[in-house]
Formats: sequence, structure tokens, C-alpha cells
Amino acid sequence: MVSEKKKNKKSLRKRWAISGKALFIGGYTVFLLFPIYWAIVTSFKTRLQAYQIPPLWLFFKGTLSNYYSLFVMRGFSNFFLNSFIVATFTTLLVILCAFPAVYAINRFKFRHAENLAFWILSTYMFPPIAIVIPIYMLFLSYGLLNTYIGLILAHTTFNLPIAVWLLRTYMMEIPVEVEEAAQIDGCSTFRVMFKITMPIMKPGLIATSLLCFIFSWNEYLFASTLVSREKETLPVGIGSLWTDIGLEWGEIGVATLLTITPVLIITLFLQKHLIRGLSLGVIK
Amino acid sequence: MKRKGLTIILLLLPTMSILLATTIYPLIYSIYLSLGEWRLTFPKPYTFIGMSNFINAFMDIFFLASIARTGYYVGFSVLIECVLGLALALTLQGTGTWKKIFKSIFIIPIALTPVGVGYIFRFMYQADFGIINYLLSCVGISGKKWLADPVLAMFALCSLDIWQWTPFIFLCLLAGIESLPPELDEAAQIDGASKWQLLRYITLPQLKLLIMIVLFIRILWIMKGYAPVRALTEGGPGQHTAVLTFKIFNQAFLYYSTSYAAAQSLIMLGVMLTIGIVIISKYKKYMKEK
Repeated sequence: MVSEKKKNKKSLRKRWAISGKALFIGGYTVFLLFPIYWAIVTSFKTRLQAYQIPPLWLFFKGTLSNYYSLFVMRGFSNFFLNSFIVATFTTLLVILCAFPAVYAINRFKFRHAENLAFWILSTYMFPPIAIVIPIYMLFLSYGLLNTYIGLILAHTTFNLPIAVWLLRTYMMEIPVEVEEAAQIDGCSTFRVMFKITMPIMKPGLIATSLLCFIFSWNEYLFASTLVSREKETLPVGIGSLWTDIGLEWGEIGVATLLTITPVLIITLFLQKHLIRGLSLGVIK
Repeated sequence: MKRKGLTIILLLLPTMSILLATTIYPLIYSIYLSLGEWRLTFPKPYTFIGMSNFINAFMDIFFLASIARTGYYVGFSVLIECVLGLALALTLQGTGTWKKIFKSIFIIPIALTPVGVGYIFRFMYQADFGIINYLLSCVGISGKKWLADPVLAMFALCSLDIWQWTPFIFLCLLAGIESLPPELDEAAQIDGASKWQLLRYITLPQLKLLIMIVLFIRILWIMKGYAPVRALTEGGPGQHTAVLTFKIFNQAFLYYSTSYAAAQSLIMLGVMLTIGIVIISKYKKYMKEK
């Protein structure tokens, strides 16, 4: 009898603990998703509806005019294209440079290879603001301001160290034996690198590429200083939208959604790799 | 042997040339700029003035204030992120399917475009029609002028960072906790350790190095961040949320005191490299232990 009571008490406590946990996680989930939900809802509101108190939560007679004006009148399809071009070519350039470098560091055990890798990582510690002033001056004198090439080069700067570091952790996980066998069969280094190592490393390469793509896509500081008007990328576009039209929140909502949607999709695919990349390979 | 050396150089060439051109060259150029007096908009030639810019920076009350502000911004955000991230990780640890679902949900904010997030938050924090003030009024708290009050604006800025990055810390810590060997936990449990003791004396000490690395990575990022400040508060009210990056940016591209901005950015670089060296040394230690 007594033990039964004790048991009941214990299970009651357990139940409380579980509901407490559920409340905590549930509350946090709401906190996390609310801003995104609010951006989506706002993007369908007219100016008046956006300011309305009490707010319109879900079912209201919305409008698509924000979408229309953003794409047709404010040239956001153009910004989208710019962002896409810059992010894609940045990614390609980064991988093309980083992969051979990583191969050299990992596979040829030359002296100071380890130190070199850490030096490359340390360039990641540079605050962009310290680089952006001299790069601005440099681009000014070489006519690279307001060009895709300039911005792509700038974006390559901060992606390269992460890519090298990350690819290195991926390459460490694949066995050398296949490569060595191919080498014995008389394949040249470059052949082995591109024909054998690269295909084996495909998951790592894809993950690193997508990460670079996201970083370049999201970048604001370089993009806002190195290019203007017709070469603007999406993040800069949102910024100028703000100064151009002030409080048109519906349009800002659309612009924000347009910018974050591709990243969101990539994120859901990447998941584990994203965390691995952001933690510089510490979390596998 | 000689051919091998050539191959290595060839393989490293693209990366090294880009890194040298975009980090070492700017560094040298910044040093050159910072030692002189020069403005982007003035045609006046560069004049060498020695360390004056640095001395000025350390006497400049606004610059010092922005360093302190950055410290507060970083410290407060990271502290909350860690506590919340740890709480989430401990709650969800070992819950099977639920854990999987929530991991996928919680990852959402991490990579979202900071400018975009900044504007969403700005909209929500509006004083007159913002949703946050509305929700507060529902529970009987009168609305606050979030972005017009120095303390609250800073809090708003921190809240953005906390919103976006707590999941990162959560996911790192969860991965860390799950990689721990269960034997120690079990042994302590048999010895009658309470849950709190288990956390304090068994789990956390084992995660110490990981937490350090993750923390330093976060500190580095917050300091690099420019877009959130730009989008959410624009440094305002007054200068009350003008953290280092924002301050230096304005110095360079709004007031065009280029050489002074270069000096300030070098001071910031010094701080960040120090943090960077700490991360790298912890990192090496972590990898060795694994």
C-alpha cells in the first residue's frame, strides 16, 4: 500500500517534469518561429493592415500588391539575379582554390603544413571592417568597384579560410589507400586529385559549397560598400528599400522572405553539415 | 623531390595569392593609412603623422564607449545563449523522435540573412503598432519605446542575436553531450548523485573545451557583425548601440576620416586576433584529446 502511494507520487512528479519540459520546448519553439511567421503574414498586408491594432493574425483579406511592386517596380528580380551570380561564382572560385590547397596540405606531408593550415584559419579572424577600407581603396584604383568580379573576390576572402578548414576535416576522413594505389598505377597527382579524391569527397564538397553560397548570399558589409544600384545584392536591396520608402513594411516583408527562402531551403538540406561548418569542424 | 615541391607550390598558389592579396596587403595598407592623415574625399595628399591616430583613438571617449558597448553586447548575448542553449540541450537529450523534429526546427534561424532578420525585428519592436508592444499590452504591461531608449535598444539588439544563435549553441552542446561516454554518468548515478550534481561535476567538466571553442567562435562572429545593427537600430538612439564595427564603418564611409578609421580597425583587429589565438590553441588541444 505504502509503496503504491510512493510510486504514485513519483509518477506524478515525473508527469510534472515532463509537462514542464514540454512547456519550455513549446514556448521556445513559438519564440523561434514567430518572427518568421510574422514576416510572412505581413508580406500579404496592405499598408493600413500592417499598422492595424489589434493585429490581423491569419485570416484577413490580403493583397499580393507587395509582391508585385517589389518585383516589377523595385527591381528585386534583378537583385535576386545579382545575388545568385555573386554567390555562385564565389562558391566556384572558393572550391577551385581551396580543394587543391587542401590536397597539398593533407596529402603531401611537407614541413609546416599544419602551421600553414592554421595560418589560413587565422585569416578568418580578421574583422571584415578592417579589410573593407583597404579593399575599397584597392578596387577604386583598379576599377573593380561596382563590378561582379570585385565583389566575388571580396566574398572569396572570408569564405576561403572556412572552406580550406572544412574541406580539410572532410579529407581527413577518407582513406588514402585508393589514391596511393592509383599513384602506383602511374596516375599523375592532378589526375588522382580530380579523378579519384574529388568524387570520393563529393558530400564534403557539396556541403562546403552550400555553406559558402549561404555566406556569400547573406553578406552585407562588402556588398553595401563595393557595389551600388544596378549591381546590388538582395541584402543591400532590402537596406536601400528601407531608406527609399520608409515604412512600407509589407514590401520589406516580401524582400526579407525573398532573401531568406533560398537559405532556408539549403539549411534544411544541410542540417548537420551546417553546424559542422559553422563550428569549424569541431562538431561532426 | 624537386617536382614534388613544384606540385605543392602549384596547388597552393591560388589560395595563397588570394589570401595574400585580400588580407596581408590590406593589413599593410591599413597600417600605412593609420600612420598618416588622409581622407577619402579630400584631394590633399597623405601626410605622415606617426602614432597620433592611435593615441587619439585611445583618448576618444566615443571610441572607448563603443568598445565597452561591444563588450556588453557580446557578453550579454553569449551568456544568455549559453544558458538557454544548455537548458534546451539537456531537456531534449535522449528523447528520440522529438529530438529529431526539434533539431530540424531549431536550425531554421541560424543561416537566415542577418539584414532580413534585423528588419523583421525592427518591425516587431516598433513602439506604436509593433506586435511586441501589443502582446505586452495583452498581459497588462504598457508599451515601451524599444528602439528609442538606450537600454532597451541594446536589449533589442541582443535579443536578435539570441534569437538567431541560441540554436547553434544548442546543437553544438547536444552533439557534445551525446558524444560523452555513458559510463561516468551511470557510475555517478549509482553513487546517488543528484541531477544537478551530475551536470555540475560530470557533464560540464567534460564539455569544457567544447564550450570554450563554441563560445569564442560566437564572440568572434558577434564582433564581426554589422548587418544586425545596421538594420535594427542604426546605432541609435544617438550612439547607444553603435558597436565597434558599426562605429568604424561610419568613421570611414560616413565621415570619411579614412586614416582614423584604419587605426581603429587595427585596434579591433588586435582584439580579435587575440581571441583567435585563444580559439586556435583550444582547438589544437581539443583535437589532440579526441
